[in-house]
Amino acid sequence: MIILHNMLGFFKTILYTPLFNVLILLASVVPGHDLGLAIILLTVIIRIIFFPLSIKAQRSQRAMNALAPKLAEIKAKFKNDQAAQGAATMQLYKDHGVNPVAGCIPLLIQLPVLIALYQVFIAGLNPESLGGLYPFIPDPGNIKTLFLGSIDVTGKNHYLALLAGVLQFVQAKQSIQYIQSAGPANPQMKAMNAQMLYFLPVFIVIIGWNLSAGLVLYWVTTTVCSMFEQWYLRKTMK
Amino acid sequence: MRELLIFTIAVYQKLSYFLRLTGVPFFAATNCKFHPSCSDYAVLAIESNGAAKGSFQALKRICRCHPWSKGGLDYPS
Repeated sequence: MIILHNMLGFFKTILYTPLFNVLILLASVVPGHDLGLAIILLTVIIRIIFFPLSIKAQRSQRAMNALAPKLAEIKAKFKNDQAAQGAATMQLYKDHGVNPVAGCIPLLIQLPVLIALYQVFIAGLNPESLGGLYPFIPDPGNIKTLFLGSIDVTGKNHYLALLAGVLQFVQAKQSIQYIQSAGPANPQMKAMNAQMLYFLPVFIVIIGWNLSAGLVLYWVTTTVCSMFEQWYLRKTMK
Repeated sequence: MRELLIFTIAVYQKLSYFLRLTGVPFFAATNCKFHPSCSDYAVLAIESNGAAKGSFQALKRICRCHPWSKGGLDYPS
C-alpha cells in the first residue's frame, strides 16, 4: 500500500502538478483568459513534444505493413519450423530497416502523460480543485470558462461531440490510406478496419455527448494534430 | 479457460492493430523487439502449456521487454 501511495505521489509531482500549472499559466496569459484556448495550447505543446516519436512510429508501421505479404510467404515456407520462421522474420525486418529496438518503452512513457493530461483538464474544468499551484503562477481567479465567448467548456456541447466524431473519421481514414499506400492489408484485416472505421467515430460521439466540452475540445485538438502529422508524412513520403 | 484467454487476446490484437493503423488517440506504438510479439507468445504459451502456466510465462515475457534487454527470437518453452 505504501509503495502504491508513493508511486501515485511521484506521478503527481513529476507529471500532474507541472502540467496543471502550465494549464493555469496558459489560461492566465492567453487573450480573454480563455480556458478553452489554454486546453488547445497545452494539447498542441504535448503533441509537438511527441511529434518525432509519432512520425517515426507511423513510418515504421507503414514499412511493417508493406512487409505483410513477405511475412505470409515466410510463414508458409517454414510451416513446421518455428525457429527458422522466426529467424527469417527477423532477417526480413533487418533487411528492410524496420528497427524494433524501442520495444514497449515509448508506450509506457506516453500512457502516464495521457492520463495526467486528462486529469489536469478535469481539474481545470472544476473550479473547486484549484490546489497544488506553484507560488509564481498568477491567481487563477480571472479565468473564463466560455471558449471564444460562446461555448462553456465546463458544460456539455453536442455540436463539439459531433465535430469530434467527424474529424475522427476523416483522420482514421487518412491514416489507413497512408499506411496501406505501401501495400494492401490482408483481406481479413481489411474487413475489420472498415467496420472499426465507422464504429470508432460513433463511439467518440457517444462518449463526447455527456463529457465536458473542455475534454471534447482536447479530443478535437489532438485529432487535428494527427491530421497535420498525416499531411507531413505524405509530404515527406519516399 | 484456454479458449476464453485466446479469444480475448485475439480481440486485443485486432483492436490494437486498428489503433496502430489510425494512431488513436496519440499512441505512437513502436515495433516489438522480440519475435513473436508478446500477444502471439501468449497464445503459443497458453496453447502448449495451459492457461495458468502459459499466462505466467506470458507475464514474464512482458517483463523482459525493457531498455536493457536485447530482444530477438524468444519462443515459449
